[in-house]
Amino acid sequence: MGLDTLRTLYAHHRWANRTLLEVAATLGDDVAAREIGKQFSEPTLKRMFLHIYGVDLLWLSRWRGVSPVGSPADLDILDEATVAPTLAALGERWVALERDQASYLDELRASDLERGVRFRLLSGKEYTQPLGLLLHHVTDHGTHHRSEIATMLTMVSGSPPGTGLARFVFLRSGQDRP
Amino acid sequence: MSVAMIRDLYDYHRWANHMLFDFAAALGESICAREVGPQFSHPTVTRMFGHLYGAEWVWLSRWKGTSPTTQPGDEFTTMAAVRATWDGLEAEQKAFIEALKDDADLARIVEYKTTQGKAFRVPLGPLLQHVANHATHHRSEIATMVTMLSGSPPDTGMNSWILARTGQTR
Repeated sequence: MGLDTLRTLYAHHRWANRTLLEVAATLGDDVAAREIGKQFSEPTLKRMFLHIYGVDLLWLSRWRGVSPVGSPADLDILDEATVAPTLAALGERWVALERDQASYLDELRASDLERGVRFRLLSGKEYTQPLGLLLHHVTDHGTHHRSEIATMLTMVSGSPPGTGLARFVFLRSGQDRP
Repeated sequence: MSVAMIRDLYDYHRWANHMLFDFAAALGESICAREVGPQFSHPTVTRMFGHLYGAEWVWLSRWKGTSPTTQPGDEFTTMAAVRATWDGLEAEQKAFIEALKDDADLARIVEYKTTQGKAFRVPLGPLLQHVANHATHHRSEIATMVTMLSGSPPDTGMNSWILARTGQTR
């Protein structure tokens, strides 16, 4: 497992989240709070962004040895009214989380990635998994839900810009334009 | 970047593709051929799997030094046809991944042209990551389509793969 690769994946993760969040913000909070369909894992754009944010927050906490347990509805850190009254409010909180997450990654050494992380899911069930794979899981999880967000944005407005990893690599190396 | 990380990633990639493909295929060819909606990047489940196959074929060709001018995938009219062709590609892709030796292989610059002729130079490592990430994006679309056609499919997230690999369950 490579630390440099993981840092690149997280740079992509932040860029992609921010790209879609900015598109959604231009549509306004009413659109972001509109129910789009039960086929999605969260019914509104805002709740989908909140889900990605919340899962990033939970995993960062677990990697540091603290596993919040309980119903998502009862956890203040995931409460929509508290954390995401508006998309802009969520975006501000997310900046702080991104810094914290990046700081955690910066402090890792290669040997840390093999370390087994003992954690509990919200249900209370306990697991032990290698940190490297868990770090990779979080970015993959973000891609899964950004795909849903892209489909939702297409339904309410129009197709958003691509946020794939290749596009990020091209932009960063100056081979493509924003 | 490490070769072990890429091998893990592609173990997961194949597991997730098969998990979702098998679930969708069990719904039957007519359901997989049904148009679900223009909001998706391809209108049917069969076409979406065809796109996954086509993208993987194009990228494997580029990694090996050839830049195709067209991308296959749209020609498949049945899931069975996708499977029959994909199995061979998957074996070829796996052999390519298994043959990677060290970080120098991942740092090798791949020079290729898109199907429109635009040239790029990118290290192999990020391109290997891109193909797996691209598939996660489209599997998410397929999961939503399958939910609309039938019901929610099993989770194919990386964490579920880690649990399955270590004999743990949710």
